[in-house]
Amino acid sequence: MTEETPKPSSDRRFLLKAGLAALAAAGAALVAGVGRFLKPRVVYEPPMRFAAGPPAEFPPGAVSTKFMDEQQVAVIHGPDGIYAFLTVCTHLGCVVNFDAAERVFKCPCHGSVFALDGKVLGGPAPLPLARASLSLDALGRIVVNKADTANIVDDASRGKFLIKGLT
Amino acid sequence: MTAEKPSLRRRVRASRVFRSVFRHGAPTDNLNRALAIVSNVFLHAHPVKVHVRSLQFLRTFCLGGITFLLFLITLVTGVLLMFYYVPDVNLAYQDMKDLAYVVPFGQFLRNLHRWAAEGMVLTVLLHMARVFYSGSYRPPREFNWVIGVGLLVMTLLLSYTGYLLPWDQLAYWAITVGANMAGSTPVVGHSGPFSVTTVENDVRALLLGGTVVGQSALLRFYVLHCIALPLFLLAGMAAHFWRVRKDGGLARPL
Repeated sequence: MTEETPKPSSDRRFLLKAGLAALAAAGAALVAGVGRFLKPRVVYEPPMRFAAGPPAEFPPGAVSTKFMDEQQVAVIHGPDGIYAFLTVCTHLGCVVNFDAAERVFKCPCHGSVFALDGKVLGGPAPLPLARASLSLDALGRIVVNKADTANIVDDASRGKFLIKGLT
Repeated sequence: MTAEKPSLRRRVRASRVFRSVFRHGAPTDNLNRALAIVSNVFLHAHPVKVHVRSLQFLRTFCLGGITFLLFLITLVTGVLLMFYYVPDVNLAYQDMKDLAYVVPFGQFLRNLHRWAAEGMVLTVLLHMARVFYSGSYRPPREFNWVIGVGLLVMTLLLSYTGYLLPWDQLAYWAITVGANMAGSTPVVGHSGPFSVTTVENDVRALLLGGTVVGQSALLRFYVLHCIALPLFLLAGMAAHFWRVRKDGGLARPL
């Protein structure tokens, strides 16, 4: 008489599936944990939001380049008000320089030229310079937010990219 | 008449230590020649017998083998360079200068590492061209082509991550441009189409460990360059070489 191989009971099948599900859950938790681990909680770099100073520090026609070295931001008081843009070329990300004589921004890498409103005047840059959104903090200082940007030139309709300056 | 003393070679071969390492006899007959291959972990991926046409230079131009040799050179010189290089934004460039002017053979080793790496990119591309023009990507070898493309990507990523480590202007801007390309990835890049991310949490920030090319980026590229990518490359090469054999050997019709 031959003995038949006993069929695995449904209980054992269930245990197997539960074990596999637990393994899959642990694997997913591991991937999520490693992903979270790789996103630092603290970064030692210039903050994305910084206070530039009260609007009075930026008189009409002023092109403030004092934040360009550390923050790569230029603050400008144009005809409609105060705005700020990232002085990072929209072509490949090089930092543009302010040409005080010609009153334009020039990229040293591939020669793109930008007007004071960020518009492309020449070179390979595909978009105008990125405007950073502005707000006023409790002390009345202009706060520049580099994480909130838009590649626009006409800022009259975009309130957050423009702050009324003292005239 | 004195009994002839056995030769030194014979005595070494007969010694217990030698026989504990090499369990087969001298490779003077086909059995022992085969055993010399299959009982050695470094050789066993090789077939015991190779078709004579596979050995003809014009079949392969040795391009895969040259690529592997160049990889071994970058591996050895890279490990040596690690004894002097510190991935710190204040020290990295200085260490490069030390390697060039102070460390004995430092400039030689660094240049060897650099040229072997550049050569490896070249020979990988030529190897791909050879495989393509000889039709060696066709079944049953089609999946090994896919593995090979993965190895090409690993080679390019190793070149890219190594580019940042000198921490000079060339390195800084090359990695700035490359990271901005990552930031233009659809959906997961902050400046790409259909983006769902910001500059602070997109795939570029994951690569750089921040929003600018700084200390975190240098350390991440160092770890990728010295540990992570070489491990992936080694695993991929093992699979690639194994499949060359399993898919019927080199460079001849099946």
